[in-house]
Amino acid sequence: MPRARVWLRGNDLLIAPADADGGDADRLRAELLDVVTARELLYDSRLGAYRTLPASFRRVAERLERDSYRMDVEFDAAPTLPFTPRPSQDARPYQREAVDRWDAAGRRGVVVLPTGAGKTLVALLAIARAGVATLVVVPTIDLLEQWRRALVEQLGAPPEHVATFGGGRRDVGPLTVMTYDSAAIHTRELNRFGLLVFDEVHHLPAASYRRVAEGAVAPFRLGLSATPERSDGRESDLAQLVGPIVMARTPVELSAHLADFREERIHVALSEDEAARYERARSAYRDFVRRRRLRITSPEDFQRLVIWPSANDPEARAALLAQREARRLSFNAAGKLAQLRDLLGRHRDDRVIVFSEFNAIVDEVSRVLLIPSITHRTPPVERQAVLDGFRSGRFTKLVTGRVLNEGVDVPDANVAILLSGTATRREYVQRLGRVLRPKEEKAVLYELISEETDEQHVTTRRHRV
Amino acid sequence: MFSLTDLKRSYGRSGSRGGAPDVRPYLLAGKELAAQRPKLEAAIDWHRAHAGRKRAGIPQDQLAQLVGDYRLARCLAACLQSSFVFRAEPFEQLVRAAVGKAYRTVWHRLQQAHAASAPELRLHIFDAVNARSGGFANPETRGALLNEIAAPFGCDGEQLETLLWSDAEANDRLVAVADPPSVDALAAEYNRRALATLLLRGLSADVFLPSPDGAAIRRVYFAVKRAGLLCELSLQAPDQGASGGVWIHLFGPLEIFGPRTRHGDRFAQAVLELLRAFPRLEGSARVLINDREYVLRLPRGIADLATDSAASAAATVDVSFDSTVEEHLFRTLRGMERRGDTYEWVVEREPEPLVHGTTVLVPDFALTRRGEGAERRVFVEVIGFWTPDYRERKRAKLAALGGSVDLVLVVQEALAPHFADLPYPTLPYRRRPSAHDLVTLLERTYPGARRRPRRTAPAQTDAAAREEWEALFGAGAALPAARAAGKATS
Repeated sequence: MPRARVWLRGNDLLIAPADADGGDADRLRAELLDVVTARELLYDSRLGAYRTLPASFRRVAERLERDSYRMDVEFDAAPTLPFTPRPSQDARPYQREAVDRWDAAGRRGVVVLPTGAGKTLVALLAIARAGVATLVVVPTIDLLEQWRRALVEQLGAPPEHVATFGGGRRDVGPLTVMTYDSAAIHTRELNRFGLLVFDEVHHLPAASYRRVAEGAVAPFRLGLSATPERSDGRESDLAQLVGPIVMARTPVELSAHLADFREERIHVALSEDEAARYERARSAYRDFVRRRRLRITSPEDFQRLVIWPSANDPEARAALLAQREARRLSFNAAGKLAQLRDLLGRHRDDRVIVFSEFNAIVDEVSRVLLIPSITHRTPPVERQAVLDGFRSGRFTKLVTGRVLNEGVDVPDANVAILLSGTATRREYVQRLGRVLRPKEEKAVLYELISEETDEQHVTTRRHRV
Repeated sequence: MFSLTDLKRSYGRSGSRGGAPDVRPYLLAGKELAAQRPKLEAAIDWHRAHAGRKRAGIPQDQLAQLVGDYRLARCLAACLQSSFVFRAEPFEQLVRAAVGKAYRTVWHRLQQAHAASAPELRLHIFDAVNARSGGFANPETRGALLNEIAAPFGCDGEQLETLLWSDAEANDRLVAVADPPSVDALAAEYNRRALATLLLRGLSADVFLPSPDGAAIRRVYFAVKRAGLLCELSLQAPDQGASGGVWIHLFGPLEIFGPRTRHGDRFAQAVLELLRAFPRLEGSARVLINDREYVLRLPRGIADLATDSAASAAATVDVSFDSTVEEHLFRTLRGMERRGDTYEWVVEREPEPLVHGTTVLVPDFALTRRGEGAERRVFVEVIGFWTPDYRERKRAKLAALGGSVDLVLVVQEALAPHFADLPYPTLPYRRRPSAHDLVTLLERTYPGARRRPRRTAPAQTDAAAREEWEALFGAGAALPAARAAGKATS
């Protein structure tokens, strides 16, 4: 029976023949080339070993086992958890089905469920079933604490076995929650886990993040997302990085289980003076673009054709300033702030979360109305205090930017107010709506839209599914 | 380093047909520097004039207008950060500025209320607003509400509000932390960073050192090794030896995981260090920009453009080994040496390069025994990493040396057959070489005077090799043992 030695060096997986007579390197090579591409296999003659990506470990191991190799694996690819996980929450039928399907697919795969359908519980059930050290990879710092709490409170993990890595902390435990950014940098930490859970897995195929999946030996992988598709089409890479889509459910299919909300659109008009100024600024910019015959279809075009020349071209500079003025006016901060005040007055006793993707607007709302805010600039301690405070009811109003759009549970908020937005899909509004939790009445989502500006076109576009 | 977007550069094609195109960074030198000099002066003056001001009060576009180019302005601002930085003022100082005479009382009360920083103060205010005003402040009552919250601290609402968001970026002040650089120093720093921005994306570099001496080759080789990179040396004109110039091919260790430019930092550092240390160096690097390969030309003297005092004080790199095998062997030998277990062999890293005919080889160690008889110096080469390609090149070099020096090969067992026909004693190993076995091999091959009192005949190098050696290391330098003197294979 041929023998192979398998070990890790740096972030490479190494495989070498380990028979007394030196073994048959050519046969081993042929075996390996059946399961990894030639581009991912390199012979290191100093070590007498083949180097490949850690992610190939499972394929390599299964192949060599099949062909009766005796393997000396010098690491534990799936360390057992030092406690028995006990999910405290009852799973809904579709959540149980998701885990069963994932299990049947060899504990690899992606589960697609709409926001608010309980993806976290699916992951907790998967961790309980696998019973191995697990790394949960999340897109934002806010999610670190949310997942840590879920692992402790809903999985019964002793707090000392749950660690968070990112946002200034660097702890690693049998259950670890890490941001994509940290995981992509600290790749040496990846090989302590048998199961990888990728929250919002559509981030993973990005050039800088895919190394998280490639650099880990973990044989078990679970991806979670409401919207796995990406604008660059790289979602197809997920099959290789994580596994196939094992289950996908739409909001319509799960409507019985999802939070219901009412949507109200409020048009806020510019004052006559503002509308005139807006029109002047817009036409100044448009005239410049037309006169110079510029074709501006992306932010990069704008930078290259307007911002850079504006340093030494007075006309470009005037156009740039006009464009900025138009944008500022189109936010219509004054009008929306007045409307916002009215809405907050109406929902004095409710938990209200206000969204704007523009940090300047978030700051202004926070300052004028003395409401706690969270943006990417908020110091971590304050950010945690504000989120905890909102959850516990210490604060009943919260204004935030994009950082909370994705995946962060905002329990008990029953009103959301969306100030301005970008041209994303209809799904965006629905996702915001579904983070709401109804009280006696239906939850409600207000969308404040400026009239007579570009922004209205953006919103119209967004409402087109 | 600059962001790639900010770096002004152009692309061209001056190399061979079908070769990679050139990338040419915009550098501040010669006529260009002369033309830009007033703008650089203006950038320095602009920073000096705004020192002490808050970020919010500094028109950022103005610098770009002064310099006349957005990207250059941003790069210059980045360079000037060694003299001017934005800093937040300490909260206590802000309290003093906001409330004047009442400072002591207010500061004490803020501390007592755990509100002695802007974030803490905000949480305090939000608590109060939540308790008194239904979670938000109405504009009509906002002023009164703030006054009410401020009163217990001994200040008014307006003063409190100036403190509330005092940690916002807009409130940071531009502070002069060092004397501003001269225009020439600023240009040099700009050039250094511009080159580093591209070299950071380097895959490999080929540089040429015209007529180096042995010490120069050694310095180059070990500077590269210290940066954790590898290099291969080859002669430009084999018939002229090292005096015809040496090519240095610089590249990073082999790993399959990670991007191709993963050694970027070390690579940029090593190339810049070499360019600084050897003004006569010239060559080119292969760099990867947006997944495309380009050639970055490094003409002679380019280092002068990028050299100023601050840059030459750049952080030194740790001495590192290029493999754990080598490191383990060296440390064990050192330990044995201290305990007197090496039969008087003294181990030394970074020995002189071996030059013979067309070949330049820098071995990993030298072991020297100064006994009663003639000094014996034996070089050790640990083999040998990486791709079959690299192995073959190494083999060819060793073969070319033709046994002209005393050299022992420490070879991984699986590789040993590839080196078996070479005229050197070989110590095979499986996972780690044994230092003890190495010393035993040395003793067996070059018996010591103490154990076998036998005077070694004087070195009998052939005339050409001796001449070459003396040209490189001077007549007084230790001669490698002659090929005739007790050579053995194992």
